[in-house]
Amino acid sequence: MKILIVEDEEPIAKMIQMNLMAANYDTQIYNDGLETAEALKEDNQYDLALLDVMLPGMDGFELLKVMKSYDIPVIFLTARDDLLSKVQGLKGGAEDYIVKPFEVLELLVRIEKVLERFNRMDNVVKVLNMEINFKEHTVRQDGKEVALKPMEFNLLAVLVKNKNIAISREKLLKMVWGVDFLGETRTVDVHIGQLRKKLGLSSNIKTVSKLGYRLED
Amino acid sequence: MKIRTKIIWISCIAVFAASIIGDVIIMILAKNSFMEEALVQAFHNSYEIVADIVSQDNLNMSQDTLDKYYEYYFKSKGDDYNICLRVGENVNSEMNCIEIFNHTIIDKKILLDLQFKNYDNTEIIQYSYLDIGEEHYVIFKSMIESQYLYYRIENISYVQSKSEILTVCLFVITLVLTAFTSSIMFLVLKRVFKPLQELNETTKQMAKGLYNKRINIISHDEVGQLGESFNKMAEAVEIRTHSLEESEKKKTLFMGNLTHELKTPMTAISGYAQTLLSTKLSKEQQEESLIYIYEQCGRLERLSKKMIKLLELDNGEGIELIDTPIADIFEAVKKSCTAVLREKEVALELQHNDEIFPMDSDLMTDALINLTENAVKASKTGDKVILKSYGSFIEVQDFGQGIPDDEIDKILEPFYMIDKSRSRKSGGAGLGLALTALIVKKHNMTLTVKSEIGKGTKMILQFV
Repeated sequence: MKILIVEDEEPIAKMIQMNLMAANYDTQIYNDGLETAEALKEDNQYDLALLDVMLPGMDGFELLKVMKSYDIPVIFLTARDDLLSKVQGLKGGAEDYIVKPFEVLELLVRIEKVLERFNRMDNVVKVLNMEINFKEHTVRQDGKEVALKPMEFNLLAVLVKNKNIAISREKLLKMVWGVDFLGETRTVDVHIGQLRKKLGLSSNIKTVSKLGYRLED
Repeated sequence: MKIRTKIIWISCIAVFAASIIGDVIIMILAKNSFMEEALVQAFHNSYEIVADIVSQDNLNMSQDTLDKYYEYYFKSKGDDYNICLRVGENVNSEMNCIEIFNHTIIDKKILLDLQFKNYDNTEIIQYSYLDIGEEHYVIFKSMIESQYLYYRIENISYVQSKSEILTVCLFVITLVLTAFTSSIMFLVLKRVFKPLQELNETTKQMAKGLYNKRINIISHDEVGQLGESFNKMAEAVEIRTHSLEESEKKKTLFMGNLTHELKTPMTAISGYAQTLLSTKLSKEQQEESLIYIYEQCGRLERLSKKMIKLLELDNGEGIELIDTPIADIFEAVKKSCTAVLREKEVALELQHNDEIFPMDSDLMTDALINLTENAVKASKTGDKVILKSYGSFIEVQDFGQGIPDDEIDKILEPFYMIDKSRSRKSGGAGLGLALTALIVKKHNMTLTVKSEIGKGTKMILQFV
């Protein structure tokens, strides 16, 4: 899974790259719009592009057209939060529009959603000694299938998709059980316990103090 | 109702009323004079006959003969408007009255009952009016031979019809006059009110926000003067509105730029903090993140410092200008820029003739450091930058890439950067030149930019 980052602010580009790499994505950074357009002529095998709007060389809206010609889905990442820019971006064919400053987890989830929509997510992901099939909702550990309850599987899926990133109990509750769920964060702890026990992940699913849980490989 | 319509209505009514009053007076006078004329005419007719009869000597005739004579006389006249009656001693008695000659439909009884008035103060001839049907008559009466009454009937209906024609004429004249007056009034008022109408339209449009509307001034009367005053007011309003809009636009742009400049480091800082907290990172990555956070904090600090300075200068009262040798300031600039100069291997040349200018030395040093740093940024490795003072001028000259013509006006605006990514990398936020421009303004100086692509830029400061 390769993601293109076009951002003229080097610190921000590096920050995004760090997180995407931790979550198992390959990344490529460009700082200049024109340079990006040129480079795409050589290599355009990207599953997604994160574009800044105000770029030197060629602005994000122009670059969006280039991306569309290579069938690369685009998420705008910009400090411009005026409605006109949003409308222009989304109407131009961008999949999403994220305003700076953003939350890293939000960025990851949105990337995931876009990739799902474009069927670019792998159905089967291998993490540690596990093989997770999102389509069939099955987990095999060392070739043997492990029986998981639906919610346990969903929780594992969220942790796997956001590998190496800590997610708070509240966020997990929302992402796995849904916004309407009235349960307590205690539910999350119970399910995490089940996953650790069933899959033997007690050292891999880490409890990050004050934050939540993180699946590490 | 419009004033124009009101005025037209009022003047029409006034003209009409005055004209009608005139008509009535004319009609009364004319009718009287017609009547007078008709009376005189009728009197003459009857007088002629009376005189004719009296002149005949027929005193000795018997009564019968006289009767016959008068009958014959009037018959011979062939005039059916004469009536002759014989009356006895008692004039008013109908019994003794005999019609000698009467070809009219008027009965002797009617004649005897009529009340006669004296004509011309003589009792010889008397007259009275009589209406039969639609016709009007005047009747003259004279006594002949103390036994005979002679009546002369004259039709005066023509007086009535004459005055009717006159009435119609007068009424038509009145109508024409009124119509004429109103159309004249209409034209005059239209001319007078046209500028007022235009004024009204223009005011409405101005109320809608079209401040560039003006009135065409045709006349120089009171309305024209009003138009002139209005135009002056509109001018003032437009200028004021324009300057308000302009400053509002500048403020919005400034705020937008400031937000952007704040958001970028904030995104980086918050992003790295989140990453450090939640993402599994290697030791090197953690260090890298911390360095970025530190750098971005520095960027925010520089931005806030410059902002504060800009605001202080912008809001503050005038600065204290003290006579300072330019050489001291040049030296301070050179000292501050040492690192930048060394990094790019650019030489700074100082040229001055020990001028002394009234300056705030700290602020002027800041301004010149800014200009010098910009000059160094634009220069190629190994170039030189000249800092020069002569007459009332201070000049910073480089031989670098130059500024495109269409950007020269914009470079003094806050947050403007010609090469965004390069300026950012060197830590700029685009406030340096704006600050310099403000300092220059506070010194009552002008800042002129002369630049040629590929040949370099001259920033010229002049004391006014």
